[in-house]
Amino acid sequence: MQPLLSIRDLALQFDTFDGSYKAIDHVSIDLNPGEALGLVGETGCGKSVLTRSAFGLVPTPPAKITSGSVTFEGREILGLSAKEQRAMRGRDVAMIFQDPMTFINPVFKIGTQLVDAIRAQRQGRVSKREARSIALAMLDKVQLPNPDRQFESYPHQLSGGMRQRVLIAMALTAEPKLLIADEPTTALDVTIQAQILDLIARLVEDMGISLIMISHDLGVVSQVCSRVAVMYAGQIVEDAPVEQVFNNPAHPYTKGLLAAVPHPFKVEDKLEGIDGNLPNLYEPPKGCRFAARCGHAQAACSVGPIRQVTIEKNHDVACVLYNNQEVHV
Amino acid sequence: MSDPRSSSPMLALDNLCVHFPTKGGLVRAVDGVSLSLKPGEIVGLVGESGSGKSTVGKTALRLVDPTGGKIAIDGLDITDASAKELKPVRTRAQMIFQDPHSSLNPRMTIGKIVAEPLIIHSKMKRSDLDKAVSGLLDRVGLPAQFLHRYPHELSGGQKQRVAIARALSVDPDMLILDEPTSALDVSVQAQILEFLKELHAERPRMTSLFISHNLAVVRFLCQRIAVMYLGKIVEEGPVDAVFANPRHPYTKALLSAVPLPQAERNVDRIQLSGDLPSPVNPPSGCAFHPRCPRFEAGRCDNTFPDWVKIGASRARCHFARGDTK
Repeated sequence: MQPLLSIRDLALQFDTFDGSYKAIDHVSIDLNPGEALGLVGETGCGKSVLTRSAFGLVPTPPAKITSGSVTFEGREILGLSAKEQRAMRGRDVAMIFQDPMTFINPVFKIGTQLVDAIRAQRQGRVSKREARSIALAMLDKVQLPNPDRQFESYPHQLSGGMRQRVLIAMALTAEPKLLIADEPTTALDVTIQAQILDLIARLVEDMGISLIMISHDLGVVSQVCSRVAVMYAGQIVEDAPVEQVFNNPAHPYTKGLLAAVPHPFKVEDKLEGIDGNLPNLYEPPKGCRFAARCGHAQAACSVGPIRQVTIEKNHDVACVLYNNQEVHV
Repeated sequence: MSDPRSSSPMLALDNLCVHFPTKGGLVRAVDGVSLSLKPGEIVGLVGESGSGKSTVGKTALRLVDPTGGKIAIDGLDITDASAKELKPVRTRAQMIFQDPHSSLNPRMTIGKIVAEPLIIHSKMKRSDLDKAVSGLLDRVGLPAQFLHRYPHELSGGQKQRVAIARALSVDPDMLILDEPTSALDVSVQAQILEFLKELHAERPRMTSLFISHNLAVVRFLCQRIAVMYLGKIVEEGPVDAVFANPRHPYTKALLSAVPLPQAERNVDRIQLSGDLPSPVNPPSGCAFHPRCPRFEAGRCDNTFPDWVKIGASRARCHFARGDTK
């Protein structure tokens, strides 16, 4: 099967006055059609930059892609002109973000913005009236209460959850092949978060859309995704089905993340934090970037780049502890 | 100072009301909250945005003035205390906020920030002051070099440790922690929670009100939990009892909505429709009734139920005693 999105050996740095900040370090990942992938990691691990740079949303300069390729349905998209990229976004790929208020224009009515988005996605081939009915149908699909009335509302008149529904409606009107959801529920309350996660899971399934969900919360990802990639300091350290990540985590960082999260229905005496800080990415360590904070660090960790090994079907990990456990499936 | 074994609560809120007059009408941010914290307890106050939990925390220290009810800290009524009368209270109770970046003065060094409460509240000599500040930084796990650094040079977790060191400088008996780990990564959050747990273990009289929207964190740290909805506490009890057997439908929905850090998806999730109603014009009767799966017309929309006591917990719901599923 040809992957929908294939990122190969992508490296990206930000050129600053202090030097080059190596934000993404030779990352490779494939996304198959219909797959729901969770991209998990803490602040500054590069999860947002990775997905945004693949679709030309990271300004260059200051960013510079130093190696790699990104193909979408087999077509190279890294070298595309701004115009071609723009045509692709919205039509093939749509994104939703953490804070809907930042991505909806506060001075225009919800309806006007939806109609404009729909007409732009279809390059003006639909009339305003048609666009309006598409928009209303979509608002109904995202279960916005009273779509007719909300159509005439300004963003500030809507609650956070309602705004996120509008943003989802806007993203999905063009029936994209891929939806990128960057922390879509982080700003919402848990009961609203549950509503939005269910909505996203249902819509991507019904519409056959592939999903990349970026989150710092493993619990959120497990509600929607079937596969999880864990990022640390610009690298993917583990990539596995969601059951494996929780039941059989391999990388010490993944284990650390899981041990740090309290479980609401278990009595726990102790939580394990992860000591130390992110490495200096202006001059990143030669070997494993997690080694300085890792309890299993050994001499082999700092020799050179860490190879990603497959330890069971669909389960890859970049850690020297597993070099002898490689399987070929 | 009172006897640690005495039963007088460290913090007692009695029918606390905070109403803000606005153009749109009276916002009942806190509407009749009664809560009492025994010495040594960690109580979690949870609720969604707009439920009034932060306002309760701020009002407990008179950072916001109440419009009704009583506040007592260790038996001392501070409801109408003047600024001068409040000064010594500040050495008894301190507050830690969510965003350490905005609660630390960017123009002051870490050393000055931590020393400030000591300069205000004690007559310490300069040399003693330096020693005390180094000791405090060490206590929260920060190296002494940080004394001369500025807040922007520190990570979020380190800044939160500075905020804790500053709060501990006056040796308080009570901390009000308003979402202290919400802005932090999980690996750092775990460290701060562990630290708070240790702090309580070594100081038996230390009492904390831990305000949070994160139920898992409350489960880990607190002994008791109070759940707020639209300015009122709707359920209260020991964490084990409330998590195992929530009595109020809102608590049930809240607990079932938490995304679990495990491979299995949440089952039997109770979906609440709609958003929090406006506190200007709250629904009649029980304010939760428009979203409640147990709603019974004529009853829930007519009267706000009184407390129903079940075991060590209590809830304000007509059906609190009903089916417990």
